[in-house]
Amino acid sequence: MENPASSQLPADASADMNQITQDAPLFVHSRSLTRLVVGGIGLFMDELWSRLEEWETTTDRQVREMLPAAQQDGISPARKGAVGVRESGSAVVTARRAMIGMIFQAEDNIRYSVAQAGRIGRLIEKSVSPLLKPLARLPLIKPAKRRYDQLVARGEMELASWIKTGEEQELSSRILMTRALSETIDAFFDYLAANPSVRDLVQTQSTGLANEVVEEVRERTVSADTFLEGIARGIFRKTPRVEVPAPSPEVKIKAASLRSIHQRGKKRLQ
Amino acid sequence: MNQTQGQTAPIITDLQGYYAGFISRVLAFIIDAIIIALTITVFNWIVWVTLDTLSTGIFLGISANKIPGVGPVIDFLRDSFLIGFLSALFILLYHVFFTYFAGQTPGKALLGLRVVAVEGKRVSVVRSLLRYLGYFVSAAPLFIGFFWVLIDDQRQGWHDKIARTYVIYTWEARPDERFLSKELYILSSHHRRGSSQ
Repeated sequence: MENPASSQLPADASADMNQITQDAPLFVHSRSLTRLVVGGIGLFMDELWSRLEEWETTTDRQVREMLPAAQQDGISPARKGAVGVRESGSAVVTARRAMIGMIFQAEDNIRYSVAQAGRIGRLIEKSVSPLLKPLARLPLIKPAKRRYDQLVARGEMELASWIKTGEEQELSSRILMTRALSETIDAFFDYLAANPSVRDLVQTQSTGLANEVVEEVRERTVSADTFLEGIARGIFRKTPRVEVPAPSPEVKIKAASLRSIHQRGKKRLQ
Repeated sequence: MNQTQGQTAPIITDLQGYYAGFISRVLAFIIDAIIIALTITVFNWIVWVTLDTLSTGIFLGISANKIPGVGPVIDFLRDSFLIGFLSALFILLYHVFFTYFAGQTPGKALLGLRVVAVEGKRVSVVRSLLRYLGYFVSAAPLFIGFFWVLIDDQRQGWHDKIARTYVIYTWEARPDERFLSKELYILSSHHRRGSSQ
C-alpha cells in the first residue's frame, strides 16, 4: 500500500524504509512484546469502556432510585451536595466528598480550558493571518518559508506513517493478545485437568455439593412434614403434636443399623 | 424432640428412626414415578422401533411380516394391552423388588426413608406385595388412604396398615430451624385457640 505522504519524501528515504520493512525477520522479540502490550491495552480499554458505560448507567439509575424525591426535584446539584453533607454529619465523609467533588470539577475545568484555548487559537489565527500574508510574500522571507513548509511536510509524512503502522499493528496486536489469552487459558485448564490432586478436589467438591443439595431438600421436607401435619390436625381438630411420634426401640435400632446410600457415600468422602 | 407445652425453644435432636412425614414420602413417590415413567417410555420406544424396523423391512430389506408365523407375533407384541400389562408388571416389580431387597426404593433412598415391619424387622416379599396392592386401596377413595399419614399417630397410610409397615427416617433428620420456628409458632397458636375454646 502506497502511503500518500511518502510521495512527498525524497525517493531514497522511502526506498530505505521499504527495505527495512521487507528485511525485517518474521519474529522479533521486541516487536512481538510491543504487539502483546498494545493488544493487551487495546483489549483492556475496550473491555473497560464497555463495562464503565454499563456501570455508569446502572449507578445513575440506582442513585436516582435512592435519592428522595425532594432532592431530585427542583434542588440544584450544589444544594443536593450540601444536603448530603449535612445528613452524613461526619467530617471524614465530608472531606472525602469534597475531594471527589474537586477531582470531578477539576476535570470539568480542564476540559473547558482546553476547549477555550482551541477557540482562542482559532480566533488569533483568523485575525493575524491576513496581517502576515504580505510579509510571507517578501523575497527575504522565502527561504525561511520554504524551510518551514519542508518541516511541515516532513511532520505530516511522519504522522501518516505512524497512522499506517498503527493501523497495521493494532490489528495484529489484538489478534496476538487474543490468541495468547485463549491459549494461556486453554493450557491452564489442561493443566488443571491433568493434575490428579486438582481433579480429586473438583470431584470431591461436586459430590460434596450434591450431598449438600440432598441434605437441604431433606431438611426442608422434614420441616414441611411437621408443618403440614400441624395444619391437617388443626383442620380435624386433633390435639396438635408437641413432638414427632417415636416408634418402638426395635424400629429405631433398625434405622440406626441401616444407613442409607447417601450416608455411606458421605462417610466415604470424609 | 421432647418439647413440652409452655417451652419456648424446642430441643431439636435428630429424628433418625422416627416415622417419616407426608411431604417426604410424597416427594420420594414422585421421584419413583419419574424413574418408572422414564424407564417405561424408553423401553416402549425401543420395542416400537424394533418392531417397525422388522415389519417394514428397513433393516435387511426383508419384511418380517412376510415370514409365516412372525406377522401375528409382531401384531401381538404391538398390542397396547400387552404393553400396558408389561408396564404394570414393571411398576409392581420395581416397588416389591426394591422394598424387599433394600427396604427402600430409589426415591426413598434419596430422601433418606426406609420401610420396616412394625416389629422392626426387614419387610418380607409378601408384605412388600401387600404394601404395593395397598396403594390401590389407599388411592381408591380420593387418595384418602395416602392423606391418612397426616393425621395418623404412627404416620401410617392405609397401605402401611394393610402390610403392617412403618416408613422411617434413616438419616439424622433435623428440621430446618428457620422453618421450624414458624411452624412451632403456628402450632402453639393453634393450641392456644384450642385450649381457650
